[in-house]
This record gives sequence, C-alpha cells and structure tokens, in this order.
Amino acid sequence: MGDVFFEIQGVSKRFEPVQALSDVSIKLEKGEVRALAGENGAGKSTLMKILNGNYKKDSGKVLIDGKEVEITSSLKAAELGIAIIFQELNLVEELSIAENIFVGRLKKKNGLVDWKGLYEDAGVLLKEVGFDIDPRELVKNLSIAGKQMVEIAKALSYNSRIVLMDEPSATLTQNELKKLFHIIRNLKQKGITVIYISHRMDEIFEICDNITVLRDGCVIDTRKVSEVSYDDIVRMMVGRDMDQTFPVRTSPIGDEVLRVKNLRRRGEAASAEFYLRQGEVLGISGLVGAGRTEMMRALYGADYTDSGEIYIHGERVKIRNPRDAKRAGLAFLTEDRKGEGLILSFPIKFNIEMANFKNILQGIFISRDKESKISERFRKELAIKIHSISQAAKTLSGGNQQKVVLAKWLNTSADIFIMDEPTRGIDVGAKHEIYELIYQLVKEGKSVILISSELLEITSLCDRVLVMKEGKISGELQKEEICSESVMKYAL
Amino acid sequence: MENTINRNRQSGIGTVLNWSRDNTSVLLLVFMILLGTALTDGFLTIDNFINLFRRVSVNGILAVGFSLVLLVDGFDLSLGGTLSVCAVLLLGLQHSIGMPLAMVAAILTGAAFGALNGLLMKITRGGSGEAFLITLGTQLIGFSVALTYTKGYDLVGLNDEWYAQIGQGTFMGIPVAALIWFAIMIFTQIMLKKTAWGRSLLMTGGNKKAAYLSGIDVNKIKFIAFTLAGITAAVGAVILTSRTTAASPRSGVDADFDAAIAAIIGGNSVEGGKGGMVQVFIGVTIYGLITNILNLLGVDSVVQYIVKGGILVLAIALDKLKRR
Repeated sequence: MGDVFFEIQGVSKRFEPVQALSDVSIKLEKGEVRALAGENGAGKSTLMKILNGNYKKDSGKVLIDGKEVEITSSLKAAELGIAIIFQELNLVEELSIAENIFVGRLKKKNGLVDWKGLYEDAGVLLKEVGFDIDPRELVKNLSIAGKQMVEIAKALSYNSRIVLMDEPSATLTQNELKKLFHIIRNLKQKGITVIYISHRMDEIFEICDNITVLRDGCVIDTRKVSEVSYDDIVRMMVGRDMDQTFPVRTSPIGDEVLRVKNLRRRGEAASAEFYLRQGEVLGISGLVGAGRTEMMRALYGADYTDSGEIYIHGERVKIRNPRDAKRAGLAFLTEDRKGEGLILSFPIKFNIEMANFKNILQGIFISRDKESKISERFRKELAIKIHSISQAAKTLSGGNQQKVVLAKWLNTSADIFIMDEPTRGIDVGAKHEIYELIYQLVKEGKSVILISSELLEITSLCDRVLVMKEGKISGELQKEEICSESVMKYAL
Repeated sequence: MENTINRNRQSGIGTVLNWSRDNTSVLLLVFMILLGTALTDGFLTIDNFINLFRRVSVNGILAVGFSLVLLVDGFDLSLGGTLSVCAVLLLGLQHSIGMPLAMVAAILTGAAFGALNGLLMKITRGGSGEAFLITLGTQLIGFSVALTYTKGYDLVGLNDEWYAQIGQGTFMGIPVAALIWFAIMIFTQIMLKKTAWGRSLLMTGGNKKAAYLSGIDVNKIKFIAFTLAGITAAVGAVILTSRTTAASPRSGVDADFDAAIAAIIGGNSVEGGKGGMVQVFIGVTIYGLITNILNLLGVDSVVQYIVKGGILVLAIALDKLKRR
C-alpha cells in the first residue's frame, strides 16, 4: 500500500495504578483518514496528549519518515507538522481570524506588524480550507464550525502533515458537518493525514478509510472501514456483543399531560405551541441554534418569557422559575451537565438529593441513614458505576454523570422529563443505557421531551418529532413520518 | 475495568487532597502553638487559652458571618462598617431607651445592613466580584453613618452590671463572650450540616446555576446569608461595647479584614460551597495566636498588617492551588 510516513511504535504510558496505554502501535499513511475509536477511558486522549507533547511517554517511539522524534511540547509538535484540534477550541475570541491563525508569529515589517501581508496570508489559507470569509472578522462572530475551520487553517499554516481532530462533530450541525467533511477530503488530497476521533459511527463510515479501535489502553485492531460493520466496531470497542443499539419500545401512549400555548421568550417574536402525551417520547430536532434549548428553558422557567400558557393535566399552571416548574412536575436535564446539572466538587449523594430534600429529613434534620439509602437505591437502579456515593461527581465519566443527574430528577415527583442532548460526549455503551432508561421512564407512564442533534436518536427513539428552525417550530412529524429526510426538510 | 480503577484512583487522590486541605490549617495551628510555646513561658496553660478565646471572640463571631457569605460564593467587606454603626447606636440609645431596647435596635440595624447587601446581590444576580463592590459601598455607608451619628466623637456607656457581664464576665471560668461565640458556631454548624436549608446554602455556593435549575431559591439563600452576617456584626458590637463600655465610629475598622483572614486561613474556600464552623474555629484561633505571637515579639501593630495581609494572600493562593 501507500507509504507509511508516521509511525507510533509500542508506546506505553502509566498513571499509577492505571496502564493508560500499553504497547500501542499505529502506522499511518500519507493522505489517509484514520478513525480512532474507543469508549471513554480507552486511551484516546492520552495518546493524543502524548502526540501533542502534553504527556511524556514511558516507553516506545514516534517515527516521522522513519526517523525517531521526541515531542517535548506542543510547539515542538507543531514544528514537526502535528496539529491537534481539540474539542475545546483554543482561539482568542476578541481577535481577528488572521491574528488567531498566526498568533505568536505575526508577520512583521520594520518591527511593526505587517497587517496587509498578514491578512493576505490568512486569506490564502482560508481559501485552501474552503472558508469564504474576511480574515479581519473577529473570531467571536463565527459559528463553532467556523471556528473549527480557523483551527484547521492554523494547522495548515504550520505546514502540518498530520491533523488530529478530537470529536469535531460534537457541536456541529448536519450542514456544518458536510463542510467539515469537504475540508477533510481536501486535506486528504493534499496528502495530509487526518486522525478522526468520534463516537458517531455514521461519520466514521462516511469519511474514514481505516479504523483503529482502542480498548483499555490497547490497540484491539486496525481494519479497513469498508470491511467492517457497525456491529463489528461496537464489539471491538466494548469487548462484547451489544444486544441492539436502540432498544425495542413496547409501552402505549396515553392522554395529554402537557399543553403549551403561545410560549414566547422575552424579546423574541416567535411563539411556540405544542403538546405532550403520557408515555410519549417527543423529539425536538433542528440545527444547533434553532432555538430548541431556548424553548425548553422558557418552558421550564429558566429564562424570562413574554407570554405563554402552560397546562399540565389540563390545569393551567404558572411557571415563573425552576421552582414552579419542579412543583408542576417538570424535570430538566440540561445540555451542560457539568456546568448546570451537577456540583462537580460535591459528593454524588448531595447531587442526587439536590432537587428534593424532603425524603432525607428526619424531623427538621437530615438523616444520614435515609440519605445513603436513597443514593444507594439509585446507584443500583441506574447501575451508576462508582465505588462510593461519597465520591465527588467530577471523578465520574460522562455517562455516569448523566445518570447522577437523572437520579436527581427521579428523586423528585417529576413526570415530565426534558432532556437536552442527554448522550452528548458519552460512549456507546453508556448511550445505550441512557436509551434504556428513557424507555423505562415512558414505560412507567412518564413522558420525555428529547432534544437531540443526533438524527439517529431522533428517528429511532421518538414517537413524535417537532422540528425547529430559526426559533420557530417548523414542522411536526408523526411516528410513521419520522425519517432523516423529513426532519432535515423542516430543519433547513 | 480500567474505568473503575481510574475512578478509584482519582477519588483516592481526592481523599488525600481533602485530607491535606483540612490539615493545612490544622498543621498551621499546631505550628503556631509550638512557636508560642517556644517563645514564651506559660503559653500552654489553660489561662492563656481562656484569655485568647476572650480576645478573639468578637472576631470569631464576625468570622461566622463572613464564612456564611463566603459559602454562598460571596464576600462581605461591610461587617466592620456595620459593627461601627451598631456599636455607636448601642451606647447612644442606651441613654434614652435603655440597653435591652438598644440591643434590639442594634441587632435590627445589623440585619438591615446585611439585608441591603443581600437585596443588592439579588438585583445584580452577582457572585463574589459584585459582593466585593456592593459591600465596599455599604461599608462606606456604615462608617459614614456612624461618624455622622456621633459627630466624630467617641461615646461612653452607662454602667449596667448585667450588660458588662457579656463582654467581661465569666461563667464557670470561661468568658461569657467566648461562650456566646461557641454557641453561635455550634448552632450555625448544625444548621449548615444537618438541615435542608444548610444543604441548599452549600449547594448555592457550590454551583449557583445547578442549584437554581434544581429548584433551590438561590437568591433567597444569599439574602439570608448576608442578613445573618449583618446580625453577627451587631452581636460583635454588643460584646465589644460591653467589654470597653465605649464605642467609636472607628470600632469596626479592619474588623471585616480580620474576619475574612480568619475564615479563609481556617480553610473555608473562596470559591464557595466548602467549609464550615470547624474551619472558622481553627482559623480564628490561628489568627489570634499570630497576633499574640507578634505582640510578644514586640512587632508594631501597624507592621502586623503586613504579616496578616501576607497570610491572607497565601491562604487564598493555597486554596486555589489545592483546587487544581
């Protein structure tokens, strides 16, 4: 096959007492797009950080063009032609695109910045990635996809030969994703190698040539994408057969439990009307920024509204703040579970009881006994993998954190669960568990409003879908009408 | 499999960190006691410590109020100003309405100053930054009101035996003022750690957004915390004036700093949500010992603030470092 120019040989890294990477060997060819897959904790980020010079490897070699290189810092990595695009983008919002691309090495003439040359150079790079924009534009005015393109342009400016992308699609809309794929194909044509880390299988199948699966710090296998199936990858990742990606749904749908009329956020023109039935999973789809989260925050009383009538079980309720919403039986699992769902430094048990103190009180005092009983119950029911309920929430993986947030709301009398991107950043196994839990909820006669950017979730889990566009509900799809095409038709 | 091990390990580190976080202040306390023993005779005696607790009790009570505010991710610079107002009110009103009613008036005034802070915090939806500026404003108002009320003069109180007992008396050998401080700490600790209200307060400090979205009335919690802090300043004023039977508009100068330093070196986190009365007790005692030792070494009280300021900065830096 083509020429191997980049090689990782037997790299190991140990963080006592965990072997984060053991004897990892990967060979990459010029112009290859390689998927790097694995559950959270499989060692992907450790590997990436070693390549970026953040961590020192314990043993093994990194070879470029057959020569061993030592990556001692991220600057060194950049000089060697390794560019890494992290999920959290490293851009200065208040500076222009051009300044961000050439940050730290601005072109100078007579000791002053050569602005004209700078903008010209940046313009050339932006054209190369196919991003048609004025390099003087401030980064803060760009969409997340735009920012990623700036990062890619920055990578090109270092003459990078290998670009690592860590879950670039996590925050992208379908349309932006198409652009990203277009850029990746461009890079490929230029002979640049791309390592693409993603949890989303459909993307891997669409853009990648080969896939390397990591599990528990070891390379499980490297295969051609065209020769593996979805199930093969999942099996390699989790080390066992997954019964089904989406569980089978059997429970019936009952009467209307929630009706929203003329709900308008403060200062917005568009108003929303919709209803929810008992035992129903109502999907909210649309592009990022279409106003899905905002509509739900308005319903939940987290943002101000100008108007809105909310009926729960036919009765009019006033929701002015989250307290009112909770009293009305609503639960809200926010998109930002670390920032808004959990108190990361607090023990799991405190997080679980955050929305309801009543059942841990003995008289006016908190009973430790009741407290641990309740937390232990949820730990068992939701299979939260922890070694103690006194452990801080920040020590958990994304999936387990989401379960703790869910436990917090199951600990209330809520019967309407609003879940905003509940599976974002969660690995395949945990995702499946979250799906099971959603079905468990509706089986118990509760109702779920599911906001998701993953079309597959919308089409597979939901009984009915509302599609949003530019702050308005642009379409409603019944069970039999739900498919990616129909959703996209209303979303675009 | 790896995940589980990883988590165990992280929480292991967490435990060690927690342990060392609590222990930095304990270690500092032990160090101070050893230093005091080395530098003076009769340091490790019950008498000396009873004296110490008598001296630190006002600061101790203010530190309780300050840490409540710190726990909800706030800051209170107005405690000194509030203390001054309450102190001059106590002795000013004693002449006209008598001490019992003057005390009621002072406590209400302290509560009002705290409530004003709390209200402004609610309006600005602020965090510790806003709290700093808001309470800087109320501090100025406090000192200014005290100066205006006394026209700049000091006030002298009437002799009321029972009132003098509060600041000067002892009960079973222990200063009444220290007993009041201990009682306030115990009561506050029970409220903080054992009631739903206390849990809500800690959660508000831990993550305001998460607490709010979970249905906790974070603004009300903050309002109450600031109001209680104002009340502690008033109680501090009662003890202070009773001890000296005099009040000055400058009575509360630096009282807020002292309370802040004591609360923070004791291990109450400046980021909110972490801490309690054990930390207050340790911090106030350490702070008292520092003053004690500096006095023994003959360090000028003006110069002492260099040391104290340095210790505050160090304590904040340590708190941040430990959170990394």
